[in-house]
Amino acid sequence: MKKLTAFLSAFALAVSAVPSFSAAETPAMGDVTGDGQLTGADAAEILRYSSALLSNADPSEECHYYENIRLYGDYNNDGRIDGNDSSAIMRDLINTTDRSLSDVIIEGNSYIAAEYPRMGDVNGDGTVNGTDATIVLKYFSNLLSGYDVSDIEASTYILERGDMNGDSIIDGNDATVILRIFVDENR
Amino acid sequence: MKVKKLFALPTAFLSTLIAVPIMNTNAAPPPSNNPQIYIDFTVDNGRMRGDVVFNNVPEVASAGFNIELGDGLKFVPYSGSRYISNCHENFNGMYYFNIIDDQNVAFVYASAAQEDLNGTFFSFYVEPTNVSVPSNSTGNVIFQGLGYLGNDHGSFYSASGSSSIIIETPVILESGEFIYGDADDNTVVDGSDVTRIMAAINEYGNDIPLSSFTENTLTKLPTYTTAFASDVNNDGYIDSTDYTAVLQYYGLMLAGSPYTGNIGTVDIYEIY
Repeated sequence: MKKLTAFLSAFALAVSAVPSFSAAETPAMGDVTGDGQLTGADAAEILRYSSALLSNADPSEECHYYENIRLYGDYNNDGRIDGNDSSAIMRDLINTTDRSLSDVIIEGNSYIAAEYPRMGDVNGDGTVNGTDATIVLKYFSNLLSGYDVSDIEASTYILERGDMNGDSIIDGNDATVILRIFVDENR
Repeated sequence: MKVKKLFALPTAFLSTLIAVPIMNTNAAPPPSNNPQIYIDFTVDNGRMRGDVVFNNVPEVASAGFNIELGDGLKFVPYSGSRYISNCHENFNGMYYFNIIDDQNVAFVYASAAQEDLNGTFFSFYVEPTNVSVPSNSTGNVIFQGLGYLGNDHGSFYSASGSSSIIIETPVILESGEFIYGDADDNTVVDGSDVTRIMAAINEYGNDIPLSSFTENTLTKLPTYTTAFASDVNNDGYIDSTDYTAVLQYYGLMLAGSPYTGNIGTVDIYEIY
């Protein structure tokens, strides 16, 4: 009896040391971003995957949640991962929550902007606007004046996202492009 | 995404333009009751615009296709960093418009409900790849699939023949700009165009039907550009009505009198 008790105790100890996976830790179908809920972000990420395939790009490089997409992206269970899965997610979000189509699209677009930053978004806030243009101008001005720009380079994405016209120089022309984008997108 | 510089249209074209209304050619794809997705090129305020058109397509919730251009054209932004415009009123979803290169894009779209998207789904803009030597080019939609939301959580219709609806994607074999009345293709409409049209009709021996026109068969009108430019009244025939109209136009220009017709304006022909 003692041996049995000891064995059972040891067994219980061993089992408790093994990490267990509950249903909550495994993403639900469609939750490719793995945040525990179905949102417009999941629809957007699956659509991005579809876009990568059509573009003959490598989806594993284009999509940050590539592995989850492969496992949980077939939301409509038709054997394919494509725009139909995005549509089905969007439809179910609208039908089962108080979100509108517009809300879901904004959710998806905001996610994409944050997850996949755009050229011109030098401060990394998910938008391209006058603030980014100001940073570019300040950077250019400091360069012209011979001032130290390492602070700006370290605290922003100016080097990665500031060269808007592709001429390998970050200057006022790039700020102009940024402003033009901002004006066009906010008409 | 880097913003590419826009190239200016050839100034020679602008010298004879009176007005550039939005116009389509009458060389539309052949009518069909089958679902179709195709590109229709037109001139929009001096810029060449391609409309992706859905015709007889059932209501769908998602779409995906590639658009390919020939070497003579390249995609350019519509405004700022945006590449698509003129979206269908039922265009209510997420989309990606991926620029693969100057002549290739991939487009995917998804919405929450099936919508009737027949008509112009969206538009994009193009420019000649060589501004100094504009050349004719092609445009093609490589259809990938449409989707709809059904009780079985959706099905896909594709052009691959694996489902019950086949989508036709007529290819534009050739497209190009021309100026109405500019029969000798020198960007100016004048008396020499009148004599050119007359000489072509004499060479052919009769009124010239555009439907059976082929390039390099008439020395006086060797190209599609010159042929479409000569059919100024768009009736499908190059005949005395056309050279008379050009003569009248030329007379009005010499006299400095107003003119409100289409001669001198730019249009696009499309050969499917």
